[in-house]
Amino acid sequence: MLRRDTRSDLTSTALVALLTLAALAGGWALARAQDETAEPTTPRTLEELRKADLLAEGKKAYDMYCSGCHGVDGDGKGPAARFLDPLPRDFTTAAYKFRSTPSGALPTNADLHRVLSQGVLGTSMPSWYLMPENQKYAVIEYLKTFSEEWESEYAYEPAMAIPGKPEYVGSSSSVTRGGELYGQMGCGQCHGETGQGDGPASNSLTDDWGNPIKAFDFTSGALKGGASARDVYRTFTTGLNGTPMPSYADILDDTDRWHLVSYILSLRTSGGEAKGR
Amino acid sequence: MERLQTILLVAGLGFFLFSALIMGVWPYTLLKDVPVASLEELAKDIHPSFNDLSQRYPEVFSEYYGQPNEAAYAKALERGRDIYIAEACWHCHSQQIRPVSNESLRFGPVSRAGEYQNVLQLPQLLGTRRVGPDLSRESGKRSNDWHAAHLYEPTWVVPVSVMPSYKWFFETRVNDEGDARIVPNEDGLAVIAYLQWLGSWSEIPPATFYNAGQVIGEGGK
Amino acid sequence: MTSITMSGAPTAAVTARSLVNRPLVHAHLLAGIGWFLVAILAGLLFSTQFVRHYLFPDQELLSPGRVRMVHTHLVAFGFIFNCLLGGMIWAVPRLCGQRILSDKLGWLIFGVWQAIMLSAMAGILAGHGQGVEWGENPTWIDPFVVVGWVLVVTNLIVPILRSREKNLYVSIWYFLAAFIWTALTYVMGNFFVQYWVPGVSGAAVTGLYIHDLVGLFVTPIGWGLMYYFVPVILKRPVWSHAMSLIGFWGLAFFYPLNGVHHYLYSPIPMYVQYGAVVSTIAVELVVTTVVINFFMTIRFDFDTLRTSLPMRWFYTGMVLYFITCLQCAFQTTLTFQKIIHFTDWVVAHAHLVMFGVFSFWIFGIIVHLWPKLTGRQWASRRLNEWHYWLSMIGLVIMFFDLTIAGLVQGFSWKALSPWEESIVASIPFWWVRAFSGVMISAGALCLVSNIALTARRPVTEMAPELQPATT
Repeated sequence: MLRRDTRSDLTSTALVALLTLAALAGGWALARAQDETAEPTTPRTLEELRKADLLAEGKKAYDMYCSGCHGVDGDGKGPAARFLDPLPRDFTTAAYKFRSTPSGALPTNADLHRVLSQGVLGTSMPSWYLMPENQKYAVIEYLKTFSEEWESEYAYEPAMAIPGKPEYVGSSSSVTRGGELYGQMGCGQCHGETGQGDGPASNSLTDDWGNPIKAFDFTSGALKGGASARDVYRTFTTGLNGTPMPSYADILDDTDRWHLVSYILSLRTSGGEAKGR
Repeated sequence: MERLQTILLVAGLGFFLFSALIMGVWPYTLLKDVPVASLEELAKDIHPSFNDLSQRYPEVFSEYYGQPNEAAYAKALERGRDIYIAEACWHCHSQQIRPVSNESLRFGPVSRAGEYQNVLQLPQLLGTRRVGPDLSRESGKRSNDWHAAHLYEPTWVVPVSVMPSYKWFFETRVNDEGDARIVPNEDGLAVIAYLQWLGSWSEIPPATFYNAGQVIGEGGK
Repeated sequence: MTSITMSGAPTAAVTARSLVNRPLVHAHLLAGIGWFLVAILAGLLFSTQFVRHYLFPDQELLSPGRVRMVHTHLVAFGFIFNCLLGGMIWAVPRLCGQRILSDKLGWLIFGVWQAIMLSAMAGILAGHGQGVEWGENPTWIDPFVVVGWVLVVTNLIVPILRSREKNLYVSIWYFLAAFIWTALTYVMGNFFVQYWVPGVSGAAVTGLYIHDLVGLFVTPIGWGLMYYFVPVILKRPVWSHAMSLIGFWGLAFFYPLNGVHHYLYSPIPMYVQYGAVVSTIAVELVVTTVVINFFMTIRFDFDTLRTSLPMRWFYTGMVLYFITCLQCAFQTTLTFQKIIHFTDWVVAHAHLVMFGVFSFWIFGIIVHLWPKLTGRQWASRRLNEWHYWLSMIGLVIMFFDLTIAGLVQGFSWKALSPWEESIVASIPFWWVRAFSGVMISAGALCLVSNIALTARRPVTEMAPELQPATT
């Protein structure tokens, strides 16, 4: 039997206890060091305090969820962007496609919230429906710090009215009328005669910054701005900022725009909402 | 009770077979009438993401899989599943959604037994640990590009991720203009195809992702 | 009613010199320790991935997922298997008064088994892993494992048959049952699930496999060895023979029914899940009788825990076993499962069982047997103490850390927070886990260096039956 050695027992126990504490302390310290907090600000008024709080929250969420693709500086050049087509939105340009506001204007908070919650079908933007609401609005506020456009009052316009879907949308007569309008308006130039995004001009399209851009393939069903009739109607009404897609609010009256919606939705060969891409 | 024969036959063989009977064979007989789908049957319904892969990476796709047809899809699914096993993806991702803990709100419809009656669930991949999220309703939630970037370097897409990178799923291709581009190789394409397949059979779309805040049925059907 | 004198077996150790093939036991234990070292280094390496400081990033052959499979697989089949086999090769001949069937066969098994482990590790790292938990070795290795086990059984069952003992000693009950159980369990998990039973019914069978490997391979052999070594070291019979009977038959009946509790709330039929929950709670009550039996055997002799390191390892293992059982009876309920399933809680539980209980017992056996196997006294008592304290405290830290982490994760998921939140919240816990892994690895290094130091010491004079064999 081995000899009992109390002193060595005590020493080793004490040393092990010390090592334990060091391990615990080291672990937490390292973990804390990883958790960088936002730089301190010195707000003066209550208004500024609220704003600073919101922006700090927004930055935290943005860096955690968005920065991989959209970049820490919001320039759309995050590390993952090299894999993505279409490219992630560059927030420094303040050009947003999916709005309820007139062409060229900034989107409303509700517009940004909708895109954030739904994602953009057919692109790499997933849905963030699980992000808590306060975080979503904090991120939206934080996005606005990337461009000075948001400081200019002239960039704001009230949202256009997007009415409820009329009864006749989806009827065969409406689809026929929409098809005629599709030809008259020259939609096929980009989107192709059959709506497959293969029109004669489709190969030379660029966005406002010179990046090549594809005309949308309506047969795919993956409608980016949302799959409902109202979503498509909104796109015709407001246009897509930063892309060759114009607003038809001044060219077609709202009945014709609804007919066009009927036609576009009839082109889908697969349920975009069910099959994803 | 202390004799050799009793121990070998009753404890060793008898009790074990009893347990296998009621915990293994009985559940098996309940499902025996649900046919086990073969790979060919699974590959009949080609997911749109597979066509998308062939358009995004035409060069590598045609080199490894040819046309995006059923045979190619079957090949990609099986290979993707094999890699999912070999890289131990199943150690950190589950493929079952439980009816508790709000899982159906987070991931999608609760898993049903019939969904697993196919050869790609042999061995089954329900999983017992989630470091990352459940994958059984992954189909269509994210784009092929997202998956490519995420497999190449997860922290590029999800900065806080602890998932390892899988750079050996990729290769560098130089195009005619001399631009180098990182594209998925045979393995990468297979894994993405497999991930986009998981849950694609679900009749109910992951509604929360695509129809959040919308009135269902308004889609002009 | 004592059992040792009844079977008369351990006292037959007087002629032990010719009975036990010591070099074979020595070799198995050494190999086990070697695999243990590889396994825990793999675990430690894997844990660095969780704190985003993986030591070999972007190396395909050292991909964290593959390393993780190596970790669990080597712990079960490299470390625990080798050491339990070594223990049985020591205990069975002494209990039966008969040599094992063939020394040559013994060495053949030893060599083949290490080759199987090497190729399993290489196969997993090369990307041939199998999708069965605890059965991650490449599929082509499975038949060799089955043949290997049949040979092991042949080698060890012959002395039992030859002893012609009518009423066998309790250790032998466990060994005999484990011979059958392990073979059936392995075939069930690695062939049925792999080739014939898909999907949900496959999950039910996988659940049985995962749990039976612990409950019907590691547990019975571990208990069998405890029933042998504890009375031998204390020189006192086991407290209650009736309790031994209840413990064995209760385990034999209830343990195989537990497996599906790994897949609660899955699409497996609910009656199977309820059955698994009930029998899990039952088995925990049953094994408590075994624990009580041991505590009562030790009852008057707490000083032994300080003087005798093997007894301290055994005792600590018993206490942790009791905690494990208690924990298991609660965590198997559907109420607990809502939160803790899929989280680190389960990882904590697995480490408590496989490291805190069975590995600790194996360490006790190693510390006890080493001087008898090598003829050399331990070079350093202090290193052995360090091994004990580092392992024990490392394990306790890991257990509490991962248990709390599991609760944090479970509640975060239930609260529908974005997934990333649960990762961010877990990272401090994963740092602590990595540090506890360092402590455990340091403890293992103490053992290994002590073994190396001991090998340089002169062979001391011992009682004749304890002298090393000269083969």
